[in-house]
Amino acid sequence: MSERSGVIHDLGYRRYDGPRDGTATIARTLYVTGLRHTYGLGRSGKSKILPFILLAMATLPAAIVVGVVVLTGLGSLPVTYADYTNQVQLVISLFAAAQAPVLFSRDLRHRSIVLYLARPLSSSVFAVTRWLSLTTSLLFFMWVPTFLLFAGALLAGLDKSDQLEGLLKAVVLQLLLAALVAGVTGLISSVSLRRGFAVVGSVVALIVVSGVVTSVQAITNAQDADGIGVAAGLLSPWSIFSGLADAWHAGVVTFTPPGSAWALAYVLVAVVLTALCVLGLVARFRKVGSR
Amino acid sequence: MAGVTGELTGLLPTNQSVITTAGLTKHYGSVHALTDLTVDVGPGVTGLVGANGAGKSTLIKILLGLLEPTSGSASVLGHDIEHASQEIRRLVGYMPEHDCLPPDVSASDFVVHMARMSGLGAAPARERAADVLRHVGLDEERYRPMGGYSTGMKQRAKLAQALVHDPHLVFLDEPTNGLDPAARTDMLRLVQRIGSDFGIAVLVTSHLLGELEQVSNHVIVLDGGRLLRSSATTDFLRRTGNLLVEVVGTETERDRLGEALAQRGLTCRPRGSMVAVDPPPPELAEAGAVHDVIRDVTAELGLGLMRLEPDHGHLEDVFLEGGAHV
Amino acid sequence: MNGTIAKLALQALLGRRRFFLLLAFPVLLIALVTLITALTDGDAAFDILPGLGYPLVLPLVAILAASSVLGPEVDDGSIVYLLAKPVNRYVVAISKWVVALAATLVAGSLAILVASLITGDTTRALGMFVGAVVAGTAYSALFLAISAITRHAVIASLMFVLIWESLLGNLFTGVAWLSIGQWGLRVGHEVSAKLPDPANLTWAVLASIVVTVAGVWFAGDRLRSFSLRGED
Repeated sequence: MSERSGVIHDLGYRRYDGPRDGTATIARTLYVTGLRHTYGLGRSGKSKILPFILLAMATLPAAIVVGVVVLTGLGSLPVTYADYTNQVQLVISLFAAAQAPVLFSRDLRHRSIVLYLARPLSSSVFAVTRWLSLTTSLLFFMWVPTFLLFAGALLAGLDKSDQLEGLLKAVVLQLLLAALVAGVTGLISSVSLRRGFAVVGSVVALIVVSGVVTSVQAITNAQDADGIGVAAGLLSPWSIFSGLADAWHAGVVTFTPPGSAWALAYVLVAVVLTALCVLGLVARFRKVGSR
Repeated sequence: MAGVTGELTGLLPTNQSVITTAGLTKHYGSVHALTDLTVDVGPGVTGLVGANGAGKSTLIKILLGLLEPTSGSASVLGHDIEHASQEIRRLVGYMPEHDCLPPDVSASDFVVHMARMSGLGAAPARERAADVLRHVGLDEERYRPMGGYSTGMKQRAKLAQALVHDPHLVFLDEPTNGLDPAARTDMLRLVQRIGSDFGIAVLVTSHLLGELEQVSNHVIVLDGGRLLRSSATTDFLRRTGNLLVEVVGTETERDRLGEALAQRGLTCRPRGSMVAVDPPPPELAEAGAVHDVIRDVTAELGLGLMRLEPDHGHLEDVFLEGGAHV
Repeated sequence: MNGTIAKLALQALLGRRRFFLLLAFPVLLIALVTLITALTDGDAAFDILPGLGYPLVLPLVAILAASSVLGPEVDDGSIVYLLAKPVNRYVVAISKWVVALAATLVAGSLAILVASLITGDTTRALGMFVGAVVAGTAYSALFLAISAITRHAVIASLMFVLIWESLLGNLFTGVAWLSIGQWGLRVGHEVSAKLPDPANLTWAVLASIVVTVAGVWFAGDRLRSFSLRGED
């Protein structure tokens, strides 16, 4: 006899006449849930291991730097805020590559997206909210070490206005970077539904392309063909980040920094690319939802 | 809301239309999923019948705003699908035909999450989720990840998420798919309860004609994207006045019986393993006369009489008749 | 070594988008090196190989190949059908490994050979090739084993390559003794002195062999105990 444990109890069906949230509140709930999922909160214990290990790896060097500065009384931080983020880019890229599938591949792979889209949230709001969750998640990932460094700098009595200026520049750059990386990895994860291949795809987009661009920039710099290197910098989120950081004197040194006109192009390309990725996400969700 | 019939302790007056479509069409290039569909669905349980590919799921997706129609219009619960789609999605629940449950979440967590996605607050979501899961019959299983569920449990979980936000109308797409006979009966009974006791309007699809006969008040039949028929179930199932006779043996025995009955003045024809006897001529029209004739004939021929019952209509007949009567 | 299983694994590898991704690596690597050699000179282009091709592209190809021959079957549970056949577990593992190895050697090691040859200096190219063959073999076995353990094989393998071998390897020289990439380079050093000389040759050769054999054996062993749950 099957399903006999599922006896239907006749205790009467109750109506729900209570308040119902509007779209904005529902989106906010989705946003918070997504953000928590990227750190494994609200899911199984095993899914917390990787994000927290990566976060620890990204933060530990900052803690060491703070320790060194405070104890030896250095006059300035050995690494600026923007440069620190640049140095740990490998870990940040891994985090984005590993956690984007949690938000973007799962619902498409198991087709539970249909259940979401049959509810008041539209596919556009859903996709944008998910993208915001990942962006915030990445920002948090970058800010833990950044603000740790800042606290350490204040503790060591370094010049406040200097540190604040460096911090502000870094924060603006990190906002731009987080939005772009979230868009790129999100789109890749929504297209390649098996988590493993989405990760490889994101790694290629973030790490391999970055490496290639850096090599090209080194070579063009050595060959006095800087223009090509600057143009090549448009091809990778990290090279956009470090290029802009160099142009804005945020403490990062690149082979071929962009001039002010190029810097503007960098910003525009980043924004446009992010927008295109988000639009792609909306289209993907809508398409799979209607199947 | 007023308007209570004997059965429906519901939200809607009995004469209010729940779903109305007018010339709804959906073409994918040369594939015509729906053509010029005009129906009216009232409260209670409405069955949507058709072979696979007849357009049932397409219709539901269009009503939910997941697909855009090529032409035509429709309204659900008084809201137009083109302009007020979001309002519709606040008021309806959807149980898709395909697999749509993430395997690493428990039914309890998932249904709570879906309740919140429909606008319920955290506490009401938990309460209603627990309630609804009890109603659909998921007990301790609800705390296990859904990846390990049997088909029956998965269907129940899907149904739970469709009901948790107290919708006015639910779309159930093939709810008995993949269920064994006992679970199928359970599910059908549950669907009936949703329509009658819970007071929620139901649009349930199936390609199994027999099920819908049992469960729905009204049946809409689709064939190749077109409306074949739309009427109350009782219309379909009315007694036709014929009698069905079945005897032990093969077609030979059946044919012997048929010929013998014909010689007695009864018009009859074979139907499957049985003989269908048309309503008798005036001479034999008294109550019981035809039955006596049949009994006597069978005894004379030495055949074992297995079945003698009044014939009633079947949904299958609609397909066999073809054509569109509305 | 079971021919049917190997053929099926090959079909899984060559099917659909995965194949293009696998092909993209060697094509792009060779294209990049060609472009830079044309624009500047061979030596500048060669730097791409120890900087990017060897430590990053080769292991990525190995990860992709190993997870393609084993991953999807584990993921959707169809591995049970294979395990229900009267074929020795280890034969299954070897058959799959052979396909992953072939893909790694062709798309990874061979690509590195071609790219190095384009930069001139045949001896250096051969040295690089030998190193890539040794490392590719060990990588494919290791990643196959990881694919048999966890559903998150790709990310775990990536962490090994990127964090352990690349990041930490650049910081601490001791890591060279436990880095497959360094073993390959050490063996390649025998062919061309232009390659670095990180560890002991005997150690490098032995360690590579041990990892390869142990990896395939472990994959076979793990195939025995597969529990299919819906967990993440």
